Amino acid sequence: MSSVVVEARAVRKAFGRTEALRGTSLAVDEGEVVAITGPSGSGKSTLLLCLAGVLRPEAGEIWYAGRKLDDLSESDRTRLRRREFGLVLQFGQLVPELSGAQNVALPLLLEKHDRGAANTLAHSWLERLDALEVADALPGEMSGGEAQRVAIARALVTGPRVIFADEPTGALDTVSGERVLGALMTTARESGATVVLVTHDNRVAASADREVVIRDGAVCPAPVIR
Amino acid sequence: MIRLAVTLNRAGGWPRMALLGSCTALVCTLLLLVVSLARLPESPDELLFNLVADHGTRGGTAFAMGLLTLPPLLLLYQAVRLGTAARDRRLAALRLAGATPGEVRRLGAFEVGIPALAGSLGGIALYWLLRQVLGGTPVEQSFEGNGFVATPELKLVPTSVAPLWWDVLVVVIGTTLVGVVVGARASRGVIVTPLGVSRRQASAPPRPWGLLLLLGAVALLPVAITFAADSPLAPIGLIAVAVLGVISLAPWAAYRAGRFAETRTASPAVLLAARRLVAEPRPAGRAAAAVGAIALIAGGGTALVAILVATENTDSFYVVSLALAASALLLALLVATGSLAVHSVESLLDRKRSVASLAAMGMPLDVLESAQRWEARLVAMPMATAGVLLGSITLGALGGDLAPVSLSILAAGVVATLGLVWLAISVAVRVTRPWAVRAASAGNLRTE
Repeated sequence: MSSVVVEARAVRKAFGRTEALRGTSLAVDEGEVVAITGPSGSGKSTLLLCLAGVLRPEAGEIWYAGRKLDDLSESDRTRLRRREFGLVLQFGQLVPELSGAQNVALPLLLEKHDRGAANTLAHSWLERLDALEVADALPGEMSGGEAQRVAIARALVTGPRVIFADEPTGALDTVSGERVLGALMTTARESGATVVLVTHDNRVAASADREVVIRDGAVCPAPVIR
Repeated sequence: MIRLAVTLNRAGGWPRMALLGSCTALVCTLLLLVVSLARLPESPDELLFNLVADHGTRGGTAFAMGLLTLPPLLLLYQAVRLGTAARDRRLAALRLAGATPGEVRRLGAFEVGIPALAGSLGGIALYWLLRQVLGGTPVEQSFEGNGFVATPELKLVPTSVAPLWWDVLVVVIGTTLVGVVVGARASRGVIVTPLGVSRRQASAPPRPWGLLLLLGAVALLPVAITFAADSPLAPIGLIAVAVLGVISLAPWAAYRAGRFAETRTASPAVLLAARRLVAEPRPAGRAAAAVGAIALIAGGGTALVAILVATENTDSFYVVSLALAASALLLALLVATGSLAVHSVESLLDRKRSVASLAAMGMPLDVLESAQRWEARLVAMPMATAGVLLGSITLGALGGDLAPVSLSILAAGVVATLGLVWLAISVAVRVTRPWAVRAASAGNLRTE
């Protein structure tokens, strides 16, 4: 029997006078891959960042594994994101001054891992994601696809329970996009992680277990189940 | 064109304009003070503190005032760089709107030139104010003796003479031009096109040319000691060469410190700081350069105190002069703290998307702030240590066999200087916390 791992209940979030989410609800089961789609400005990324505990909603509740995220202090939410969640954004958002391996090792160093062990683990993840050749390269020297694969390695290196990906292939060409998506899905399914991803791309959405369409800050009533 | 530059300045924010203006005001005031000292006759007809009244020490005092312009000039450079990314985007938008490359360059110059000119004019007012507060007192009767009149009061600004109108004009135009040139240099390597801004490839790592100047200063030491009694020019030249050496060595020191730390640390904060220094050693080096120069002078001052104690010289002239020098150094350190703070803000503004991403993936704000502190410490602390040791040991050696008490004073001075630099860095990063919070905000994850 599946169990809900992360859930938004009647969430509202506004940026100034623009209401991004208007009472949005969404429940994601353990091990499920959910694609959130919808037009630009519909509130997809806002919902993802609320679910990931990055943004605090003004109203409604966010639950993760039986814990209400809204009740946690900022420090606890930060620790939770570091230990339980992996985050992949559209442009990778790697630290530009760190090499590929150093970027991947960073979450481990934050968890007080030994430098050598963190480095070894980072290299093994880069190898798994076919990005070992950019281990010593700076993000500015990588292609978009390479940077995204490094970002995925960084998101997965701590063994997260949930991976949140915001347009992970949005800035890539078709071939690079497919490679990145393949790497993300394969590694996530191998590790049994739950994936919530935001996308404009129908092919990306088609690779998910379920597609949720958001329009004007609310989930459309008929979800697509594959 | 000027109206448009004013509009762009408003877009850049008043705090940046105020900072630019304050720096040029301080530089202009100091230069007017130097000019007024130069205009003072050998035996002034007014009561002034010995350092100014005595023709023999006046040159050194004027030189020290000239040296004091370095921290605000370095702060000016940091202030100009503040918000460079936003400024470049504004200029690119102007190119798209039809401005020619020449017009964009002129606008960039005006954008810094206007607050610099306003600051320079403010500097005249500040000079006039100092003249009222610290001005010499005219004497009604002639004094016996051969030369100067001494007063224990802190009368440091001549009132019997004033800079001529063209002195003022040269200082104001010169200070404003410095601002404009610094503004132009800050945009060096940036190519503004209607489609956006691109930067040329980063240049090669900095080289330790400053070491040559420092070695030159050490080699000149015996010459300076020999001729010190006849002319103040020799020690002044020595100090100038040493200070220039420390300042030009700073970017190299930043790069080496980064390289050293990145391979040895398991701390994410130190790793981030070290890699930032390796990637961009020049801005961090320039921010810390003043700290190294201040530590060098502080080391020399500490050595002089140790020598005075060793020789049991308690002449009030020396005591007050050293207290004045210490106050000037503290003021300079305050300005250098501002420089470090502005660099910290610049670093956060330039990296806000990466900072927001780190915060989103679970890096606590404390670690991000710690990285800011380490970015300053990794450069400023070695620079300060080298500076204070060089200053205290070279000048301390002149004191011959210093008694244990004097050696303790020397050691205390070194420790106090390093402690103050450490504190200055902590304060500089602490005041930038609001920018750190803003940089870590999830809003910066959005694409533009």
